Amino acid sequence: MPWLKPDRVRCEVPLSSKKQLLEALVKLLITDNPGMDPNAVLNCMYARERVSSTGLCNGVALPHGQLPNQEHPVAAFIQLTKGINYDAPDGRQVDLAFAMVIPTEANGEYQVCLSGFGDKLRNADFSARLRSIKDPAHIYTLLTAPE
Amino acid sequence: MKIIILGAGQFGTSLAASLISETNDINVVDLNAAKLDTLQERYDLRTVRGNASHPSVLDRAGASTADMMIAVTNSDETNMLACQIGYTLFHISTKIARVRSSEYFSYKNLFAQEALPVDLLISPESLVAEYVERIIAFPEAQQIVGFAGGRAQMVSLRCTTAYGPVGRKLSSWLPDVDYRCTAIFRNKESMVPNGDTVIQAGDEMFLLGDPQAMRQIRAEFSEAQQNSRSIRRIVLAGGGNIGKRLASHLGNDYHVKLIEINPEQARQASEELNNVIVLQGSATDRELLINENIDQTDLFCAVTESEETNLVTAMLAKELGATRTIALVNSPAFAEIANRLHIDKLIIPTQISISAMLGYLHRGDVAVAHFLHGGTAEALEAVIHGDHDSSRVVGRTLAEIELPKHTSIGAIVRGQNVLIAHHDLQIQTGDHVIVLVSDKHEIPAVESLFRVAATYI
Repeated sequence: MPWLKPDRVRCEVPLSSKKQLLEALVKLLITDNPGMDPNAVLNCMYARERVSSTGLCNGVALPHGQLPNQEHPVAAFIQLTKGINYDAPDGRQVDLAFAMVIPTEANGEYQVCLSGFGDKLRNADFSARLRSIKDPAHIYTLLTAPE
Repeated sequence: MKIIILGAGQFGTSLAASLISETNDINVVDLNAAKLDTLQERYDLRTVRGNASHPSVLDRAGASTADMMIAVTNSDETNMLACQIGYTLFHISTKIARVRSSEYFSYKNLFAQEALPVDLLISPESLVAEYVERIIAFPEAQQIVGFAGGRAQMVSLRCTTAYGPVGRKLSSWLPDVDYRCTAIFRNKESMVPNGDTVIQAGDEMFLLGDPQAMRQIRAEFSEAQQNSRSIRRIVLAGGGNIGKRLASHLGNDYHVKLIEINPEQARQASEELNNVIVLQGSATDRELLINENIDQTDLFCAVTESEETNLVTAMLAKELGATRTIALVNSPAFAEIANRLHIDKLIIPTQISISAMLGYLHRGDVAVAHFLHGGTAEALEAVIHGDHDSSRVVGRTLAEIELPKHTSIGAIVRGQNVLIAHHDLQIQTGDHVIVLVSDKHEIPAVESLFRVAATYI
């Protein structure tokens, strides 16, 4: 996962709703990306959520959206102190969220990557490890480690 | 879903009542403390007293965590401003506003995201006008609703013994018309019929097709019923916003008379409306109705500002020989009374307006939804996303899709075409699929069916 950066990972964040979670992720995503309009990022993620919730299973969500004029994808990660309602298919609350903004022009280039990464995240052992670690740097290492 | 309702008037109250559920968290804002107290006594919701367009008031109402804002105060301007604030300061994803004045609708780019960010505008007057037009097109229908911008329609018909299809197999009735019977309600039970289903007296059928098919069904239906000629002469009582809107919509195609009691309003209406005869007088005036040949009237429609007047005049018109009568009322409680007064149909603007926003209250991409059969059933227009891997329906034929119980797919709208459901019809991404769910408990299962994988971009 080369699009994540250490300063876009947060642990033990206390938030109470899906909306607050998306807003917090947008703040992280625009770090180091002065050209990104926070409203546009939030709107593109809302647009995707309207199609269908990006809740995976096992308390993990993968909010994402497409944004024009980006050179490459940008990713961020938040671990919450407690779960929030996210309308996931298994009905579980979400306390781990990995967000990604994908260039609109990429035309499906990142679909395989995102699907593969989703499989990794929803794995029960992997998500349990992400939950047990309380150090952003450590989580960053885990998320970006090669398969 | 966390929903903020602005305005605790008739609309706000009905809205709150119909949105209350275990999964919705509702907060109502109004200036009037007494109205809020009444609401709180009756329903499980929270209230905030204050000006609905003040940021601090919205903040107290939980705007920072809200998923949806529905602005239905009496002021168009407050409603629009609240949506703007909800977007700019609180990033609320879905913003719905009631806007009455037609002045604002003339400028399309006014409601763009970067201008006035309103996702859905509710104009009760135009919704009511469209509703009455649909009734006029098929007056025998219990209900008639539209999908995909009117490209597809669903009509519910009650079969009496006198009527053609009773005793026949569905497959042998109107074999040349391209329609689909999506459900039959029989003895309060719903069933998904097939070609071998034999239609019984008392059945309520839900038929789906394009407007052409509806005209064919109507022709067949009205032929079998006495007293069921097409509507030509219409009398409207009440020259307010709704009456004028209706008259101007109908004036070109029908012979329309409008009765308005207020001389100034009558004068105004007569100046604004071509092709409509405006009469100044009271619609409760027997002599006036008789002189204007009420017994020759195919449809009498009472839309004054007083619901009591509407009920009384509609009853009077019926007694004096009007073939069909419609009355506008604001309270759903009148529905039962109307039946006893022999009024054929009620217009309940709050219900019509609520149903215009139903699509937004579903999980997933639902363009339009309609409550049917007194709210026990629902028809959804689901927009299909994804591909063969990320969706459970894309690339599958209808025969391959395992539908939840009490559910049937009636048609697919693909571009301009309405494709009536057939077992080898394949669903594609971008299709609008029209689904009838005759037991509302199955709605979550239907929403899940059309879900796409979380990783789908």
